[in-house]
Amino acid sequence: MNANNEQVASYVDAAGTLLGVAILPEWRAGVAAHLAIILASAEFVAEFECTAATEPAPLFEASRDDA
Amino acid sequence: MTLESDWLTAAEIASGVQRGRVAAVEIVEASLKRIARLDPGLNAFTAVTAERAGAAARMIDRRVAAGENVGPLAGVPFAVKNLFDVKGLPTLAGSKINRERVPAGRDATLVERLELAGAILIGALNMGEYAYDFTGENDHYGPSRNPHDTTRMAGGSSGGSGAAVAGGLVPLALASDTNGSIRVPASFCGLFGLKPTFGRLSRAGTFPFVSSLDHLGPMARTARDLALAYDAMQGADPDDPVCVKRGIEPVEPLLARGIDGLRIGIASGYFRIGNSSASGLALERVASALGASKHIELPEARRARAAAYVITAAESAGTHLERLRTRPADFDIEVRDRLIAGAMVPAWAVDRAQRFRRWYREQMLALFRDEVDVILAPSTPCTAPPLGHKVLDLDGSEVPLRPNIGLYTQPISFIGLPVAAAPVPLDPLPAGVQIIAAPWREDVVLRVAAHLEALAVARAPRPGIER
Repeated sequence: MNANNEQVASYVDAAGTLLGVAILPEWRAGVAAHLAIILASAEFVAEFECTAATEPAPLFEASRDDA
Repeated sequence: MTLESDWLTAAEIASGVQRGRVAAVEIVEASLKRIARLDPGLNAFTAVTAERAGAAARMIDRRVAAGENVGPLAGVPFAVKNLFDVKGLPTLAGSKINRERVPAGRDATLVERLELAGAILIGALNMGEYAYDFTGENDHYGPSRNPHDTTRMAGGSSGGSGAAVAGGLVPLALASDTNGSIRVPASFCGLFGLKPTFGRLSRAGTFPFVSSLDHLGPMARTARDLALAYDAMQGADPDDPVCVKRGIEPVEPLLARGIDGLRIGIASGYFRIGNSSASGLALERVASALGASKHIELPEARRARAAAYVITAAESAGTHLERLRTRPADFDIEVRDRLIAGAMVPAWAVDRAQRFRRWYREQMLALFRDEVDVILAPSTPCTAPPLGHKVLDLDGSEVPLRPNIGLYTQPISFIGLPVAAAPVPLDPLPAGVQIIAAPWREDVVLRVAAHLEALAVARAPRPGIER
């Protein structure tokens, strides 16, 4: 995923609408800039090969014996 | 014992009060006078609970007079970052929006436990909005100022905690650390700080930031004070499902053990990129004093930081989604855009970050099993920047300041390792070092911190704010 600035900005506009978050025009560039950094970080993490057997760190317990 | 001394430690105060050498009322009055005089220049406090403190102090004095042991923190004034619930106050968490919250009906668990140990709550402290901050600046309440140079940042997000303790207003403060918010102000303000193992201390009664990464802990001017506070706060809490059911393991009695038998390494690679001359010098002094020479490469530290970044962005947005929908214009401008962006992070990104987190944790646990008991790393890539500064010189490149202050702290808190932040007094500004150990080994990190303090390599320098 190598989104360019315009693609990120378009995504911000669409996602803002779907989320119900009103983004003022003067905030748009800042939100897009932050999202671009987060997405780049996410891509960097995703490049690391996790096998299907690698569970996410947080584990859910249906019940705790001591509950 | 002189009451005019603003630099008494918690241990000294507790000893004096318990032995009847000084009244808790006088300790509290001295603290309140210092706050009235110096806090306008430091902006550490958002609320001073003078009446409550006075009543608590009178009760402590009555109990001491009756021959009672009031606890290891007898009469010690303390303050808390304003994301901790304080009965009767709205829990601001550094925000304007939270002013409208119903006042807390009960203190946070850790506040209750410190008071059970005899400590006296003095007030609530300024912080970066909703803890999404490394600077200590705040649009609504103004910045917390560094007592060593009030034109500079106290660090964040626990800026008020750093300023209050380093400025001699209180000897002890509670703070939080998700990606570095205890360790950064400890470094900038020249203080000892403890970020315990994830889940060690109860988070009940605090306003959340990132559930996967939030830790709470003390800041103080000595390692022993950290240990006393930590010991008083330990223990399971049915009100916090994340708090582990681990027994109380007192650390303060173990401090004198020193560093004998500890394998100590120095984080290399990622943790040496971008060291300022001060942060590098602080690390060298600490490593030299401890006789540490083994360099340890933490695997994939850069990726760990990136994963912490992604999880922080997404989970914090979840915490604030309703407020983003209804009150977006009322956020700190430095926080709002990041939160909105976080609400747009695709779910697969968080999933992959959490899977990587499990892998990274296993690698680090293996290091602590096979190679070292302690890892040393710089706390921050720089000493306290001037207030309002936006960029950081990192190895010759200019990068945004705010996200990069936490360069060295994020890969560690990402997997919940215990860290003692130790201050190295340098001229003109202090710099901090992280002392990192395996999970549940707060005893190890505090023993090392205490040993450095005994050698006078780590010390909370006294600022000249009254000169």
